This record gives sequence, C-alpha cells and structure tokens, in this order.
Amino acid sequence: MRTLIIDTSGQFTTVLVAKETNLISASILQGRPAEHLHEQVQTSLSSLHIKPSDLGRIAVVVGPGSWTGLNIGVTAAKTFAQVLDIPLSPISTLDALVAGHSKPIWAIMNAGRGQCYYVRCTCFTHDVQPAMAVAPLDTVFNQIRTDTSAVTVLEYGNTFENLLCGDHRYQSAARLLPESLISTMNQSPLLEGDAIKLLKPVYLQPALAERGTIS
Amino acid sequence: MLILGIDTSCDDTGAAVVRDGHEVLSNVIASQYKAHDRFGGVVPVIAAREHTAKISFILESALEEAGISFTDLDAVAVSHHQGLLLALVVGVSAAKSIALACDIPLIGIHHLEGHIYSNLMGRSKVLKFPFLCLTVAGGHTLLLKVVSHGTYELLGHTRDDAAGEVFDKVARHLGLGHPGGAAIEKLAEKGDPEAYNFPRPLINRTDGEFSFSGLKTAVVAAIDRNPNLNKADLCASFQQAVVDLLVSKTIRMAGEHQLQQITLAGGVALNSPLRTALKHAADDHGYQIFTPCDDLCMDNGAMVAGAAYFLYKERGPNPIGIDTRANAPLGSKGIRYRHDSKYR
Ligand SMILES: [Fe+2]
Repeated sequence: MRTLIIDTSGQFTTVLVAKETNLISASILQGRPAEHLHEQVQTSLSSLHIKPSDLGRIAVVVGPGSWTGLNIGVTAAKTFAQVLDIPLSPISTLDALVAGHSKPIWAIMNAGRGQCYYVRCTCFTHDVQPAMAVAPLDTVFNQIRTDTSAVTVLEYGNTFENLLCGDHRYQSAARLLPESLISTMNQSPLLEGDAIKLLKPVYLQPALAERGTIS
Repeated sequence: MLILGIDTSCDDTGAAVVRDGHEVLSNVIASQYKAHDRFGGVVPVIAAREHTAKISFILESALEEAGISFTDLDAVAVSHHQGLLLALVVGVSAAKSIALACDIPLIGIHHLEGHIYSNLMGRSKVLKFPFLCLTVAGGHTLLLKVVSHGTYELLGHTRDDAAGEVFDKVARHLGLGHPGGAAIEKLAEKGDPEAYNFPRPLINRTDGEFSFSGLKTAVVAAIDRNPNLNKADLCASFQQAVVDLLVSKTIRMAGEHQLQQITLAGGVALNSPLRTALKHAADDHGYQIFTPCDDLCMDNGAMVAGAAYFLYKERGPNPIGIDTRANAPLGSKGIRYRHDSKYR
C-alpha cells in the first residue's frame, strides 16, 4: 500500500510517498507555508508513474505549527481522503519531532509575541506525548535551565539559537525528518468516514482576538 | 458540464454544483456569523479555522443535494483572487485536491467575477454584452462595463468604505441583529426617509466614483447625539441616502456609456428599496434592470461555478499551482479597483 504523507507545519513543506514503510519519493521545499503543496504532490506522483487512485492512505501532520500551513495541509489531506475514499492518519508534530531523540527532552516552538510553546517529554518514542503549553520565553527558559535531568532541548525551527546559546543540550530541527514522519505515521490511528471530515488542525492557542474574551 | 464551485473568500463557506453555467443543482452556504459576531467584524484567522473545520461537510452536502458524486464532476472552480488571504487558501487547497484526485480541470475565478456572472446564470439569452454591472457588497462597491466574457472596464468604485460595510456598521451601532442590511431594511419600512438629511458624498460629480465614509460618520454621529432617537426614521433616511448615491451614479454611467442593460450584484442587491428605486429610474430612461436570484447575491459557490462555465471556454483550465491573492487585478484588462499599494 502506498501512502501520501504531507507536512505543512513548518517553514518546509514536505511531501513523501511511502510504500509500506519504505520511502519511495520525497519532495521538500522551503518557503511560504504550503505554497506549492499540490504541485509537489503532482510531481511526486507523476515521477513514480502512479495516479492518486493508486494511493491507499493519506497521512498529514495536524500540528502544532504554522496556522496557515496547517489549514492548507489538513484541508488538502482531508479532501484527498474524502474524494479517493481512503483512510487518513493524523500525525502529531510533537510525536514526529521527538522521535529518535534522547529523553527526557524539552520540545519548544516559537509562538511569537515573546512566547514559546513547550513540553517536557520523558517517555519513549511513540507513546502519547503530553500536550504543549504556552508561556513567556523567560519563564520557559528558566525552567529549562534549572532542569538538569533533561538531556535534550529541541526547537522546531531555529529562532532560539542565540537565546539558548551556551546550553550544550540545545538542538534545532528545521523540519520533520522523513524517517520520523513514517515511523510516527505507523503508530497513528486510521481515520475513516466522518472522522476524516471532522479532522481539524491542532491549534495551541485561541486566535489573538479571542484571547481575553474567552471566559 | 457539471462544475463544483467553491468560495471561502470571507466568512461564508460555500460549495455548489451547477450544470452548464445555468442550472443550480445545489448551493450550500455555511455562515460563520456566530464565530465573529462578538468581535464586531470578521476575524481572518477565525474565518480560516472555521472554513477548515467545515469544508469537508459543505462539499459533501453540495454533492448530495445535487445527487452526484465526485466522479461525476467535469471541473472544479474556486475563488482564488479577492478576499481574505487566510480564508481563500482553504477553499483553494480543497479545490486543488479535488482537481488532482478526480483528474479534472481546475478553474480559478476572481471572486468579483463570480458576482458579475451571477446575473448571466440562466439569462445569457436575454442579457447581452456590453452591459453595466453595479456590484455592491460588504467588501466592494464598483461600477463596471462588462464588455465580453472576462473583459471589463472600470467606470467607478468607492474611494473608502464599501456600501455593505456601512450597512453593517450602522446596524451594529444601533444594536440590530444579523445580517445588518436586512435589519436596517426592515426597520426602515416604518420610518420616514426624509427625517434626516444625511450627506450624499460626491453625488453631483459627473464620474462614477463613490464615497461612503462621510455618510457613515454622519449617521454614527446622529446615533451618538441622541440615544433615544427614532431608529426607524434613522434607518429609512440612511438607506435612502445610500440608494440615492447608488442609483444616481449607476443611471449616469449607463447614459454616458450608452449601456441599455443594467445588472445588480452582491449582498446589497438583496435590498428591495434599492431594487425598486433602480427599476423606477431605469424605466424612466428605458433601461432594463437585472438582479440575480436571492441565493446568488450573497457570497456563494454557485456563482463561482457559473462564472467558471463561461470563462473556462475563454481561458481554459488553470495549472494546479495557481496563486491565491487577497487583491488581484480583474479580467483581461487587469482592472485595479483598489489603491495601488494593495496590489503586491
Ligand atoms: Fe463577495
């Protein structure tokens, strides 16, 4: 069975085709969120000489990540699955991010406006990860600095390199790696029918306008 | 030819199936009004989130109501130009997936062309080029000469607020419900249109330019001055000012450009005093008036599918990589109806 895997959660748009668990095609583009997603899909499939109807499953990174990227990616994936009538596997950004890294690990992402998404994972790959929280940078970085038992501090993106310089545990991941996406996908549930239509991106925060107005 | 049309340009999620540009088999619209109401206007990121959450169900309903499945489609059309960028990309993403998965042509439509073509649907035998089109909605107020399929000339547009926007603002200021235009129209029925003499900016200028911000300011100031005012009188007087502005400019431009057929499009085309006044004025001059059926006035997918049928014959399909733009020049002449800084 061939799976089309879509990741639009970050500054790279990744389109992979896997046959069972083997990667058979990869298209990775940097730029505006998901700007050329469908061209990447078209090119990937035609270079493999297969048609969309030859796909047996769709997998998509549902977030957290770029608001617009996820809206485009999740909508594209849901619609492919709906039209082709095949199952859809949602992939958590966080699961794919920490896959293969030593634990305990801090996974962090820039949330803009002086804030940071963060989570501390102690369990091993493919266990369900706790949800990310959001807090001001100082608060999060102080916690990380005093947490001497953590062995890795992993940022999705590379915006904190200067702020965390000197911390030898810091690593940045510019994108989710194909092998991580494939291994995470195989642990993900297979959605069918209405569950596909109900799928939404994982938004970590309410929209700016909603903050303060939600009781 | 069965075309699925998708519109996610603002705060309504629309999908529809239209046969041969004329026969509307389904026209499903999900309003997001409740999600935006408490913020006093449409919040783009929330619109994008709502479109993403609902799009699959809207597509499903559009096909179900039309009694067809994805494999019956001959093409998929989508508004990719004009609107909120964050919202447009959702509909465009869905449309591109459908085009690829079904191996059918993708047709990108300028949202305003959808409005213009809402008049041609079912009417292409009686409505002949060139004709005049007054598009009045929450986001635009403009007068176009529709020269031929996909070719337009700009005769006038608003320098500031759109007429529909002003209706919404006044309704909100009066604490009326949604949609604002309908609430104002209803209250105005019992009011005196001459109770207030609101300004009619630029009405004596001989060109087709509109301006509504002075009128908006005057109406809001009148409400603020007297909280116990007669709302019906205020609504009637305000509505009359808008109608006078729209009708006088439209009739003047029809005369100047010798256009015998006048079409009305956009959400404000639902306003019956506007329709009546325009009809009377047109009758006086021997012009013919066309208005779309009610379901095609608000933002919807059917007008996109309708426009696509006619424009596909002219322009052919678009590549899968078509861009998405909040503001884009309109038609083969690349008309710019917004300030130049908007076109990046
Ligand atoms: Fe519109």
